[in-house]
Amino acid sequence: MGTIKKTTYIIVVISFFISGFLYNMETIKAHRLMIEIEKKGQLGVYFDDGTTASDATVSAFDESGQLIFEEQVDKNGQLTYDPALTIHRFIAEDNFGHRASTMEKDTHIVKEIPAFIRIMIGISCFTFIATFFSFRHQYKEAKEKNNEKRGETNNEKSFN
Amino acid sequence: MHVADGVLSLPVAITTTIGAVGIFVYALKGTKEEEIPKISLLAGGFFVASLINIPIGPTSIHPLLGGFIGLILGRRAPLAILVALLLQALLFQHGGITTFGANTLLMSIPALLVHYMFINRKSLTLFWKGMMSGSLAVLIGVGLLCLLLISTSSYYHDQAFSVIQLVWMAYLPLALIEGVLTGFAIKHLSLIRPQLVKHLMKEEK
Repeated sequence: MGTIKKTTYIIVVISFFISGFLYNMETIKAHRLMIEIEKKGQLGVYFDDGTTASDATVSAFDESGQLIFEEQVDKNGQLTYDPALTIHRFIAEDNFGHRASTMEKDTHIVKEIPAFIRIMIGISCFTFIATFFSFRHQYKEAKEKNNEKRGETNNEKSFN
Repeated sequence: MHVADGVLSLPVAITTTIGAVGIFVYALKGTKEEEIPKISLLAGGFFVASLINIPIGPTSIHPLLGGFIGLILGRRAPLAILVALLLQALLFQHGGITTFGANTLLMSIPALLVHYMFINRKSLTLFWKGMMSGSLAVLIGVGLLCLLLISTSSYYHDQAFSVIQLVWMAYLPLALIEGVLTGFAIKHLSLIRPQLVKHLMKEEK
C-alpha cells in the first residue's frame, strides 16, 4: 500500500506540473473543432486552442436538412458566404474526424470554468477515488490482522 | 483520436456501443478493491496526457498511452480508459455521446491486445516490451479508427489523398515517440516501483 501512496504522490505532482505548463500556455491545447460566426456572411473554424482548422469543410443546411452549400475554408479558417441565405445549421469537418455544428448551443456551464480548474477537477476526482480505496483497503487489512491476533490470543487463553 | 458526434454512421455507433459495454463488463468482472487505486491513478494519467496536443499539419494529435496502460493494468485497462473518457467528455466535450462506445473501443482494444501479446514474451527486455507495446497500441488504434471510418462511408478512403492516408501519416510519428517513451517509462518504473510491473518481470532473467 505504501507503493500506491507514493505513486499517488508522484502522479499528483506530475499532473500539477503538466497542468501548470498547460496553464502557462494560456490555452489548453485540445482538439475540439469549433465554428464561430464572425458576422452575417462570414464564419471561422478553429480548434479550441485557437489554431485555425485550415483544411475544414463547412456544410450549410436549411431547416428541412437540405444541403445549401459545401465549401472549404481558406488557410485562415475563414469562409465567406451569401448573407442573404437562410441557414439553419452549419457543420464543419476536417479530415481527421473532428466535427463541429452550430446546433450545439454553447451554453454548457462547464465551458465557463477555466481549463486549468477543469483539469484540476478531473485530477482531483481520480486522486480522491485512489486515496479513498487505498485507505479503505488498508483499514480492512489492519482490521483483519487485529481479528487474527485476537483470535490467537483467545486460543492461547483457552488453551492455558 | 476522439471521434466526434456525427462522424460515424448510426449502425457503426450502435455496434461499437454494444462492443464497449461488452468490453467494460469483461474488464469489470472480478475486479478487486485493491486494484481500484492503480486503475484510478492511470485513468488520471490518461486524462492528463490526452490534453497534451501535438500539432501536425492542419490537425492535432495527442498521446494515447494505450501501451503503457495495457502493460500495467492488463484486463482492467478499459475501466481506466472509460472513466477518463467520460470525464473528458463532461469537462472538455471531447468526443461525442453517440461515439462514446467507439472511442472506448478504439483505446481499450489496443491496450488489451498489447497486454496479452507482451505479458509472456520471455525473449524481450522490459524496455523493448514497453517500446513495442507503446508503438503497436497506437498503430492498432489507428487501424481500428480506419476500419470504423471505412465502415461508415466510402468518402473516407475514396479520394486520391484520403482521410485514411492522412490519419496514418499523422499518427505514425506519434507511434514512434510513444513507443520510446513507454519503453523508458516501463524500464524506469521497474527500477523505482518494481511492484507495479512485477507481472511483466516474472519471466525475466
